[in-house]
Amino acid sequence: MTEPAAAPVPGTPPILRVVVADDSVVIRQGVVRILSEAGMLVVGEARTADELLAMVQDEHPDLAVVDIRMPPGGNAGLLAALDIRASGGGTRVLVLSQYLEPEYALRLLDGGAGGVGYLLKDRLGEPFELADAARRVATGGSAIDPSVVDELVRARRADDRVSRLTDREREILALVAEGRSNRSIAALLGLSPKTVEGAIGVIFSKLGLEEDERDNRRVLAVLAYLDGRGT
Amino acid sequence: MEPVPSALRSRLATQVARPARSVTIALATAGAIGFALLTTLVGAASGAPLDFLVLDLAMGLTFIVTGVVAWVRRPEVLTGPLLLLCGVLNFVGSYGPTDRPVLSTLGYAFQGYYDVVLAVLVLALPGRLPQGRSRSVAIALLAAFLVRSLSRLFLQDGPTMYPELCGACPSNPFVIATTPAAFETIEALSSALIAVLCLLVAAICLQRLLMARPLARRVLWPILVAGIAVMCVAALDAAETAAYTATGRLLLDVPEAWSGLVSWAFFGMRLLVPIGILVGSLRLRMSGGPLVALAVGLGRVPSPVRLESALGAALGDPAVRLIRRDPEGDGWLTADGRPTTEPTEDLEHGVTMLEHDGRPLAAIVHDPVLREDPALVGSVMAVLRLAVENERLDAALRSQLEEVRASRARLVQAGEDERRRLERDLHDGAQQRLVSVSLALQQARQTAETEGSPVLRDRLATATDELQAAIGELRELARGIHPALLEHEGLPAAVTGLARRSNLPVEVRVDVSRRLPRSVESAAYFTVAECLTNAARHARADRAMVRIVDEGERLVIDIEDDGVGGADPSRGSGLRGLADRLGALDGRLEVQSALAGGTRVRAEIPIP
Repeated sequence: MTEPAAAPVPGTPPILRVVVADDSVVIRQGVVRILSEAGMLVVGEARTADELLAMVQDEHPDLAVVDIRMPPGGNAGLLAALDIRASGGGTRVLVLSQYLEPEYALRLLDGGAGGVGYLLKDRLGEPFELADAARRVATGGSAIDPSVVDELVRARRADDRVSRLTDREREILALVAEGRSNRSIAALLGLSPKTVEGAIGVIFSKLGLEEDERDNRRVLAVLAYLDGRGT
Repeated sequence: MEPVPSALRSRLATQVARPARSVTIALATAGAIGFALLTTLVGAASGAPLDFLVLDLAMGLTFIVTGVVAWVRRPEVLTGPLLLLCGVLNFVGSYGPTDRPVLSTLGYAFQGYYDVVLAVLVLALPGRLPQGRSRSVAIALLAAFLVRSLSRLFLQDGPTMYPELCGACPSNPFVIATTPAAFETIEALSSALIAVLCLLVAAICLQRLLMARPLARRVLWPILVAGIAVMCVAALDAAETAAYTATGRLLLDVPEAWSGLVSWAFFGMRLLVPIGILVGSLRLRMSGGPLVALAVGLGRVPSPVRLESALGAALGDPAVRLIRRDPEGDGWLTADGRPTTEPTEDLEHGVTMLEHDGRPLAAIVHDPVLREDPALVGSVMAVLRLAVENERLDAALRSQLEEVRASRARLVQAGEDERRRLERDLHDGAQQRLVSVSLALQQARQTAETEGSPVLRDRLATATDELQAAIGELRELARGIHPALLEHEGLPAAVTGLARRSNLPVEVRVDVSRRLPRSVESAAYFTVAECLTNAARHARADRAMVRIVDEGERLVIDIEDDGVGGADPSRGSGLRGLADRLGALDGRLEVQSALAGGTRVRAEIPIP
């Protein structure tokens, strides 16, 4: 047996295998291009929810990037994504959507944070957002669109502890809710990871949340708080 | 020639018939009165006593006048002509005691025929020729009279009837054979037969009186009692003739001085029949008193059963039946809705039809005696027509309302379908295209980057920002047109989304655990959207509460805020439009918005 073409180089992360599902050719090709340029291997393209499910079954990709609205109609893409998550096959899902509705993201997260993402298609215009979110999700993290998180953060509450946060704290809270790690938040805000860690402690205590070191757990806790469903 | 429509034809027939009938009545009256005057003149010329002439004329004219009145009032029945005939026949007998041979003999031979007509009259009531047994009796009576007349005409020579008047009575010009024995036998037997038959008629009258239903008894008893009395008198008359012919003696031994008075009294009793007829029809008229109660008591649209009993009360006949045309078919229905056959008249039942445009709408089946008072029946039918027309109009109005309601619901549904289609077109069209453009811009930015063109890269970044703003605005527009979230995830998620985007803290409770019809979900969603917008924009509220409960048959939506109040659905176009939209689904909107008391809105939508 000769050397495999895409054999992982020791010390470097393995190449991520991805399937892309969208009924629009232009958008599908755009997504494929962005992911390929980011070093991922697109192993299949689907135009319908059924094609996607079959492809995931056959290919066992690391990640499925799924348009929320696909044939046969309605939110078939979302339902397929939920199916894939529920099947336990290890394929993570990133849902692309035109809808700025936190309800969809929260529904995706119902099965537990980690390995799931909800991104607006607006992000396809940004060079790195899609690739970044795809990588985070494919490696078991979460990626919630900043606009969706923003809508949750801005929502008025009767008992509004969010308003007790400083602007910077609110910024950090949003990034936590998006599913970013401390390191990533620190890099984005130009702070030291230590500072971010301390700030998150303050935020959680101000909101009355229990701190949890695990990123996915705290995403859930923060989103649940912002959604008003729990503390 | 165009065929004349049947309704028009019958109207024409009525118009043509009316003058013809008046002419008939006028001619008959003139003839009868002329005959009366002629008879009196002939009597006077023959030297008849004045009291005889006056009383005879009065008797005859009474029959004639009552006959004309009855004829004019009810031209369609025989009562009038028969009474008139009685008057004429009275004068035939008046020629008996004259000194002209032909007239005297004819008068004597055909004397007393009014009793036949009176028998027919009392047997015929109400108003038609006798049937069955009565008919046989009437025919037998007429036959007995005819036999006696023929015998008097051809077998008898000389005065036997009025010996005291006819010392010099003329001899019979028609005589064929003078056989006193044969004549007397026939005279006695036929007169006896006449007496028996008259008693039979009286018995029939008595039986009818006893067996009549309440209404008929109330109306008919004066006529029937008169009939019994008159027929008894007629029987007595005939019996006297028979007895006198056979034995030369009268049955009743009346003193000489009283005999004239008694015979006039017996004769005068015949007038009881026209009087009875008059009284009977008056009694019928009086029974129409509850007519006003009928008209007033009908209410808006009475049920057929109530209408039927009201008609019975108005006509004084509890046996009245209301038969309706089946509105959905060709058949007939009873008042309580059972199918029945087309009503027809018979001995026991009269039928009066209510027509509209020449088509029967309804009929009442009633005691035939009611035909004696067409005016009462006419008034009742007029009220019935009102009720039936009212019901027809009411049904028409209801079906039109139903049509309008359905068309309003269709309009709202069509609007909703259109919005859904528009949202889908935006999503799959413009929004998708803008995303493609942003992909292209992203690629161009990468190219600019790799080719070291920072100015171009920055300009492309600016364009991307603009494009994303456009995508965002288009997204808001699409969501405003038709929320995909509502369609995909249902009411709780969509209302939660609405509350989250509101500028107010909104407490939301949605107790709906199933998908509802699209129109209901959509109306509920837009109700909440409108009210939350009002609360945040106009009411200066600090907080709001939304509660939606699925009660099975209806969805109840309560929205409250703590703002300044003063919302008025009759002014603001938003609430007005909302009320219209809910109305199209048979739902309703209730707004309580006292100044400074906050606003409470309750919407109820039936769940089909």
